[in-house]
Amino acid sequence: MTKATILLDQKLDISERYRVELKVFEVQKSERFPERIKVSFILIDVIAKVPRLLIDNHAPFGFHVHEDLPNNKESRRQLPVSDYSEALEEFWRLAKEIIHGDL
Amino acid sequence: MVTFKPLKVTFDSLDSFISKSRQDIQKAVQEKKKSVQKKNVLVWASVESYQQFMSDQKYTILAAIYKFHPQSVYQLAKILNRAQQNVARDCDLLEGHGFIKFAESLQGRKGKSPQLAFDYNAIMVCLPNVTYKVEFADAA
Repeated sequence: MTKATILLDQKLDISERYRVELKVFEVQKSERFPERIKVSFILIDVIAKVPRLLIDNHAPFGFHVHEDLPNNKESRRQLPVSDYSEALEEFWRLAKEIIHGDL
Repeated sequence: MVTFKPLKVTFDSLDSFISKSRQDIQKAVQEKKKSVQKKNVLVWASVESYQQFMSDQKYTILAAIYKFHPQSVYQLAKILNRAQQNVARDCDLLEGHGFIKFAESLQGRKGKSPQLAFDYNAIMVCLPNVTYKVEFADAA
């Protein structure tokens, strides 16, 4: 088990349906996490009790988005981003699309 | 001796939260300045969405959990004299938004007991210009 130190843990309840959870961990350097940073940006559908959008990072995919949740957990799309900041920007863009699409 | 703290509900607009998250992630990764939300604080994106969510029935559920420590949603529904299905739905939403958690029931039967997310006895709602507190002892 890789030791992880949490650097960021923030949650925002957007509506009855949606909640966002942002987490960043510092982890030991490994093949899976060569940059020592593990991120998890999630948009949760609280009513359906499923994640709707998840961006995380690990080898061999790098930063990637699971956008076909909850139907296909193995579906990943690699993101053309270079770091966690750009990944966060992409997360917010996609999250807003989902949230506003449902309003 | 259990110390009770109120659960605080604060408000931050989506755009403001996004802006802060950009800054906080930079500080967290580059300067190792941690940004960890306290467990007794829940942040909602708007007062309206919180008020739409937090009905009197949900407040009553929280107060009943605080006062009666039900061992199951079934027991909770009995206490509240409400349909179990409706109480279960409200409990799922309260769990999803961080107000309660489900723990293994102390009674041998299968099922989970609804518990407050931590030991709190009131909800303090921090509106932009005024703060008010709902004490469970008064509500139950």
